[in-house]
Amino acid sequence: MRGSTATTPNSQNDRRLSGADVPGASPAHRQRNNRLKLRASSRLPGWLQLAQVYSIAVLIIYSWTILWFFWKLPTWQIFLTTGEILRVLAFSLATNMVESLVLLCIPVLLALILPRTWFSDVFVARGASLTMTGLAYLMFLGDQLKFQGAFPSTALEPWLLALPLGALALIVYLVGKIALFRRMVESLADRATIFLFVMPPLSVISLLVVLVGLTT
Amino acid sequence: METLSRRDFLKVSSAMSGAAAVSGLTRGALPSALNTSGALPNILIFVFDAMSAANLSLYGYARKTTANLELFAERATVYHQHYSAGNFTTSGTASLLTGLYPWTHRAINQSGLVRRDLVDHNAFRVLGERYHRLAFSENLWPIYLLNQFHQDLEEILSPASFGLMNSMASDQVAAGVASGSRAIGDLLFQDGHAPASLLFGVAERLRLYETVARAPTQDYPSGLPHTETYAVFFKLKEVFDGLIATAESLVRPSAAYLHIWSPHDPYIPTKSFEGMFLNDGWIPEPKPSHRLVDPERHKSRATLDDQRRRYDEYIANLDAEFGRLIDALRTSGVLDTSYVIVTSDHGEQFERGFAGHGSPLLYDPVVRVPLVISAPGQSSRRDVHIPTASVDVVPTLAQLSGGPVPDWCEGQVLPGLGGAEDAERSLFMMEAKLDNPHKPFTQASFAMRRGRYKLIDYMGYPQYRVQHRFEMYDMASDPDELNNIYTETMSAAWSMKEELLARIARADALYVK
Repeated sequence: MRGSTATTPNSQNDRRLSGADVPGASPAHRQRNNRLKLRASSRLPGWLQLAQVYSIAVLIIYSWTILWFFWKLPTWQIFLTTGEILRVLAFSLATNMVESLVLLCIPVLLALILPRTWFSDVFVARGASLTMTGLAYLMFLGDQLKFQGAFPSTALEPWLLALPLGALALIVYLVGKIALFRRMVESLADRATIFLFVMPPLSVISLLVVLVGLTT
Repeated sequence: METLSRRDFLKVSSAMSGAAAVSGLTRGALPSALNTSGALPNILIFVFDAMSAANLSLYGYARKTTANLELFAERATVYHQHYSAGNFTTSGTASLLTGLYPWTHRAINQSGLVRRDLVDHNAFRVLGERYHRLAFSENLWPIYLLNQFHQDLEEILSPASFGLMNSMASDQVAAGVASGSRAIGDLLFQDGHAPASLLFGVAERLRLYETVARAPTQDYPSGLPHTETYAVFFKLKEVFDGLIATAESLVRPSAAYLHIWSPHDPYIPTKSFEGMFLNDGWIPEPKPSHRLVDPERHKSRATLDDQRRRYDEYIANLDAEFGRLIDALRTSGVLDTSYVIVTSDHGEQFERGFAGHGSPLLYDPVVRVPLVISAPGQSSRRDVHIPTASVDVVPTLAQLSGGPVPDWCEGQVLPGLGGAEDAERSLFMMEAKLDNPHKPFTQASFAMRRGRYKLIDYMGYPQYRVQHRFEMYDMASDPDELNNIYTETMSAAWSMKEELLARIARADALYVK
């Protein structure tokens, strides 16, 4: 399951690095630059790994929005036309696409800055578990910060932020450490990629609908 | 930069495409009215959400809630029996802005919309391109309506323009894109529940939490006032500072629709107004509980009186700010060059076991709203005592702007501003928020005012065994609507009932298949 493309720079990367030398720079400077770039690119996960983690983000983010969408639908059906409802869905899916891409940046960034054995080597397991637990935490936080009655309904005590973040870090650590958990998460991420054949294309269509709506 | 409206800017920045940029430039042209120095006066419409005429000392209320509005009225026309056509924001505002009754415009549901084929029947279209037309609403539901009319508006301000935090989402809500604002305000950043946008929605709430937590609240010991349909936290003073700045910056001729959340609940006045009526000794007259009040929302008399007191204090707070606004407009000369219209979209009731608005009830406190209009240079007060309706505002705007009154208007030009006084004219109010707007009415309340009488028809409620349950009141001798005289005045009741049922049938005819 763990692909090797992320840990071993391919020849294309090598060619790109050699062509990136700055003219006029000292050999030592060039060498250091190349080393840094090599290190960064060697930590970048491969496309398949990215897709697997991204699919988890897509699965949760889109499902959450679509669930709320269907919760609202009976009311909207009364006074909105089908076209208007579909356009609302298009706006939502386009937003979801941006959200999921922004979210993907977090595990990628962690893979780049953390020691390779901590994150990059187990990118799918830790990235997917980070995405899952992080989004679950956002669901909890969103529910706590409702505008019903007095706002906020819950005071954001430091423990309310620190405890879940600590738990999140522990879960991510354990998933990378314990083979059974790792396999489970990787297996789930692998199966979730099926959603990438549905949601992103729908989002692209949605984005076009949004752009057309904004410009007309 | 002044030539590019906020909406255009948002469109350009949101679309991030060449096509959007082209669109922004084409829509950024100056309205012709801005390029002229014509003599048309500005028109400023201040709508105070949920302000009942019954609670204003301007109209004889026992508590001194509106000292400044009374001062303003000394050089204005005061309408004493002005009725909103709806009893909650969507239907009331839609009638105010279209000049149509709810049974025609069909924005009858909470956060509902005007019938799509009637979207060009609106106040801004009536005023025309001679005016620079601007709209602002702190309440999200009017924003949905304003977005429907965006082709006739040069500017729609964000609902949070004068609030504590103007976020990307609140700007986009007023971007003039109906589906976008619905997606953002009613789903992705929805209030009352967790936001449907997990990342951006929660991020915005955290930011709002920070903003609210940091905002100094010594003026507001009970917490900061806020809207409820889309959370905007605000301080009344800052809202009015914004309104003053907006009104003073308008290029003549401009028309501005300014819909302020207050005194809508939650009733949160500043410290200096909180408790001002606490021990004033005045006790409102008790009224019997009504059968159609939802048992789960039924309030005891003590609760009703307490909420009424808080509402009154909030109105007094609002009135103080309104006085500051009028002083500023007077000093800057805006008052002398503008029509200033003060009204509301619906009222509020604290009686018969119910507090608030939007119930099936259509008693005066929830449908009789203030209407005070000051004309440029007006120096004395005029009082109009015959019943008038919110659907009269659009034809009056047509008259004031020198244009023809559109034939689709269901109202008339207001007396005192060119219209005739017709005391026997029929006016209507209704509520049908649970009904399908594309079908005939099945469960709704209707009220009709003609002369001294008011007829109320509760239609299709399971609490009554009959399809239509009528009540009738003599508003001249019984303004509190306590004595149902439906069976005692058969002649008048029969005639009004026939007219009302005929109007309902006519309105429904379009939807009968």
